[in-house]
Amino acid sequence: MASTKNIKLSFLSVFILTLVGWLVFGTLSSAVSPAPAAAEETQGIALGAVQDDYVGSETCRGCHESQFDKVAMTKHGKLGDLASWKGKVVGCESCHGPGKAHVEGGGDKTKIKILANLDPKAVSETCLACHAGKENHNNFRRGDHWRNNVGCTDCHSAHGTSFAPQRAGSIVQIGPAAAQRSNQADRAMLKNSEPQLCMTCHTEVKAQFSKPFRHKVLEGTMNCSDCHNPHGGFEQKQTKLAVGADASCIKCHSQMQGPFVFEHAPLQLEGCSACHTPHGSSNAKMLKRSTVRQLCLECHTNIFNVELDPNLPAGPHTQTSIRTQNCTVCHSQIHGSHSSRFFFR
Amino acid sequence: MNNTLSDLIDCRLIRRFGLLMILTVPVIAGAQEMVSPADSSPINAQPSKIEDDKKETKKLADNFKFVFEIGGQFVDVNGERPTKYEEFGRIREGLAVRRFRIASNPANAPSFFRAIGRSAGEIDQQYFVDFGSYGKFRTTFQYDGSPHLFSEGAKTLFTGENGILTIDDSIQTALQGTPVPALPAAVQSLYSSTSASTISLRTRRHTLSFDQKVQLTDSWSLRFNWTRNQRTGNAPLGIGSYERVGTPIGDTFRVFSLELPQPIDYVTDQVTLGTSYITRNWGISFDYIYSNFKNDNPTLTFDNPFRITDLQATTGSGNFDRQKFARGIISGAPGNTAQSVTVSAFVDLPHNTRAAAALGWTVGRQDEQFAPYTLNSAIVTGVPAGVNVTSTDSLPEQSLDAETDIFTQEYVIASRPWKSWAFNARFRRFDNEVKTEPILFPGYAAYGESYWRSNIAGVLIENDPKSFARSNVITEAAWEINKVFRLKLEYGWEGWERHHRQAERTNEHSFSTQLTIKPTAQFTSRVNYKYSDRTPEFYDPGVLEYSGLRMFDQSARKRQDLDWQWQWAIRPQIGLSGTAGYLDDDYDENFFGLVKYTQWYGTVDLMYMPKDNMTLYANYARENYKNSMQTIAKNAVPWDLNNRWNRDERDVLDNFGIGITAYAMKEKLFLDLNYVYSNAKTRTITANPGTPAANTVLSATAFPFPDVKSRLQEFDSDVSYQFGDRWGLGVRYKYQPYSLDDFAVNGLSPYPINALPAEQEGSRFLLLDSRYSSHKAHLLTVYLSIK
Repeated sequence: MASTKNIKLSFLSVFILTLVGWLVFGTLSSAVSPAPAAAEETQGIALGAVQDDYVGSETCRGCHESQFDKVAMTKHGKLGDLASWKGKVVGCESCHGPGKAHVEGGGDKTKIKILANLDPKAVSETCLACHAGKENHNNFRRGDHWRNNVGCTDCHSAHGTSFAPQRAGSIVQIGPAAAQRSNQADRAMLKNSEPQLCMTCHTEVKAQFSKPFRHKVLEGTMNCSDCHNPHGGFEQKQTKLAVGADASCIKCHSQMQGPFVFEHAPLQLEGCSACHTPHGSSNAKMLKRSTVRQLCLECHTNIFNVELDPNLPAGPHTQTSIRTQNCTVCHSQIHGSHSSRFFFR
Repeated sequence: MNNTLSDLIDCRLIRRFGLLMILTVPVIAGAQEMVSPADSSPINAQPSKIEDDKKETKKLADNFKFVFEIGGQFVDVNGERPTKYEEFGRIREGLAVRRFRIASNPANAPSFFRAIGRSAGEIDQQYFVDFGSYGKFRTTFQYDGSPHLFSEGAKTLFTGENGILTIDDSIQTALQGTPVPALPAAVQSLYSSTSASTISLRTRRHTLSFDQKVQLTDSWSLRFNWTRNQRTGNAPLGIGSYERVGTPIGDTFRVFSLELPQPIDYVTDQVTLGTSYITRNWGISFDYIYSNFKNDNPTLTFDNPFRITDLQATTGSGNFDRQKFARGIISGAPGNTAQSVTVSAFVDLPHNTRAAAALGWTVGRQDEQFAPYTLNSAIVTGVPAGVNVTSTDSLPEQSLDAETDIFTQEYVIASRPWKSWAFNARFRRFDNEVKTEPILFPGYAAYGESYWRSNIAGVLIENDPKSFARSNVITEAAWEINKVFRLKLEYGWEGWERHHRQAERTNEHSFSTQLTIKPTAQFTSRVNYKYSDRTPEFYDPGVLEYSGLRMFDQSARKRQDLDWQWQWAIRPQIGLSGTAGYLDDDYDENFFGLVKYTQWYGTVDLMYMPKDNMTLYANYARENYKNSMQTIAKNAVPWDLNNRWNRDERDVLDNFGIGITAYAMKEKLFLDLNYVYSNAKTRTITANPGTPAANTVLSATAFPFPDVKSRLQEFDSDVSYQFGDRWGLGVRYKYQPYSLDDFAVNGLSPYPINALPAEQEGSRFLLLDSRYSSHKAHLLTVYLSIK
């Protein structure tokens, strides 16, 4: 990649110039134009108000006691205890905006910010006012969920969940024991345990995890978020990357990482999913095809003696013989070999 | 073979972890006193109220809640090869701790603690401890033990440890002297004798992690993670080659096939250090990751059961008498290290716009010692002067000394300047630069390590550093036309640059559109359509592949991808949703290889809540995959186009699930029933477009392959009753039948020497039979829970 450095520098330069240009343009134009509607909608109420407009959560409790009690058990409800939040707006009004007008209006719903009435992007902007940049949340605005109008409160409950995984409402078999598996613990104020929550929308995945060979997600050993980043990521399907920017598979299957003397190119370039289906498969090793040879032959179509009349003497790759149905019986180091160009050993 | 070692390691880990858990409770309870004042504030920030409510704070330790569950288990399994029911979990009979949970999350205090365990003391056990103080720190420990059972009760003639598998010399001597027709009986006799031992092919994965997050200031946070992933045990490993035998109509091949119980001892340590400084409008993060993979068995040396003395393939052209070595050696996964640095940043710009960038640089290294060319000391023909094929001293290098640099960069601008418009532009580049120097080997031990070969069709034995780079540009505009319609348009480009592959450069342009319709609050429908066109700038099949072959991952391709998702809340109690998709890949039919790939799927999911305490659910999914290939048999040059065939493979998969979760009797009785059915069928169709050459081993006559079928059903039920506030009693029953009908393996009994015609299949098998075929498993558990 002799020219890669120049390419990198070029793109970096273009990006910086674009950034500077945008800043200059934005600063100039914002001086003559009103703030965009979206920004006002998401930021203006909470941050633009003066201190006198706030009434405090105890006032909210007067009418919304059940919500108050629920929030009090969450990290949101405990912000007031934290030194770092002293002097800041906490409690109900930190998300819903100042409540004075709402209270004085006799509970006028038009004078308080009701997140349920906002579009998902506006809801997300409200949450990101505090959570942006917390670890991977700063990816959210470039992620598939944001781009497809899935907001924070579609998965998280800012009020805290009445998380009772044993209760009716599950869309997969759980059982009391399964409910307490570590991956089903109530965390991150999710509305439901992780696999169930994700499968609410990604319904096709539920069937994949019911196949004979699968990763143990429903069984509780793995989570969707072990491989995917729900808040956005670099890769397709928002998959996470392991060290070395390899596929997240390498995190557990490190023996495939190499580098090997003789690399199997598809693994290196296209990744594990060139041959495997990560969620689940009817095929052993979670292969894409039910027979190993089919998978291999899609690239290696013209190897010696692949297919022969069974009445004739057999060649080394005959497909009518049980001994050569699975290429990996002999090419056992198919993920890469330290000593054999043909992955024999 | 490493059971003892793995058990020791496991016990050590568990003991440490258990001790840690026991110690953690009082420590954290004490820590609570330090990190949290004796009183704290409520969710209201008014100062006077804060002072009042501080007095109401309760200690973390005063709020612990416990759940402990113990149960007895009964198992009945039968079937041809029943180990699959325990493939990823140990199911043993007897008394067992099913789970426990200790948690505290007092109101009006920022601290929290919870410890969760499942199947304590079992092979597949899990522990999770999480504690901290909101806004200050969070500490998490996790341990997960996970088995992988390949087969149980297999017989083997091998013994050994530390990567060396041996067979008694007397057995090798006897089998070497046994005439080929008598080998099947001889091997079977050995398996019936005390020479064979029983082995479980099982690996165990232990994952232990420690995660620490600290919020130093409002904006500044630190994070640290250490994860150890250890895998120990034995896994089946195949090795095979062929003996070449002359017949009146041409040479044929006998198989030599071994399945070895490969000892596995992998450890991966990964440490992550990260920090972020985040403000409302901008932020920057830095992460450093170090990963170290270690394989304690970098090579596997094994005895050839059928040879006690080495022999070189010397007959005829040198292709005969293969696999006649006394010992073989296999290289395992090489140990490696990787270090990665990532910097990411974002800044909010005017017009509701955010720009973000992420740059990453990774250096991966691998310097594992090479194995010798072979252990067959009889190989002399063609070996260059001065080269001792059994000594690592004769290798041109002692190790690969590999270095791979990966540079990733991504730039994103996401903007929503107007309420109804959103834009997104991304550029990403992934540079994988292999800096490893190529090594030219003088040759290698080919044909089952029995013959020296200095080249392959004129190509020297040299590794090819496969550097590559992938670039992506995506631009997207989304328009909220009104409350009902939303339209998204996208253009994307993906470019590949590859070294030492057939197509050095490919470009793929794609256009996609998405229409979202939400006519009512109860119904949403989203349709995506994407068209993409990939073209290689140049394709070089190389000398080892047929010039008319195009590998589908680099060849010209036109793709159409359509998918549809919808959700319909028919009533508040009834939800219906579904997905459907169609993907069509067209390749150039003027070449050999994959010429067409089609897949479609449809799913429907129903959830019905007739009462607050009851949910019924059902789902059905059908997937259909079809791929068509054009294949040609390789014989003498020029290639004979008559000697080709077409091959279509179709996979049809059906999955169905239904279940109910319900509470009754004032939430004292809990019922959870679930049934899952998964069925798959593969049909292979072959046809000869021309008239293939007849009566030769190089013929390509089409063959009617049987279908491959598999079916898994699972019925799972769980009924429990809560006696008062503290005691609960439950019963779980699970039934799991599985069947696999695969002609490719149906004939493989552990030692298939009698099942096959010796002329074609040879007689030298030593298999472990480590596969799954069919079983029926019943599992009954009675458990008692205490809160």
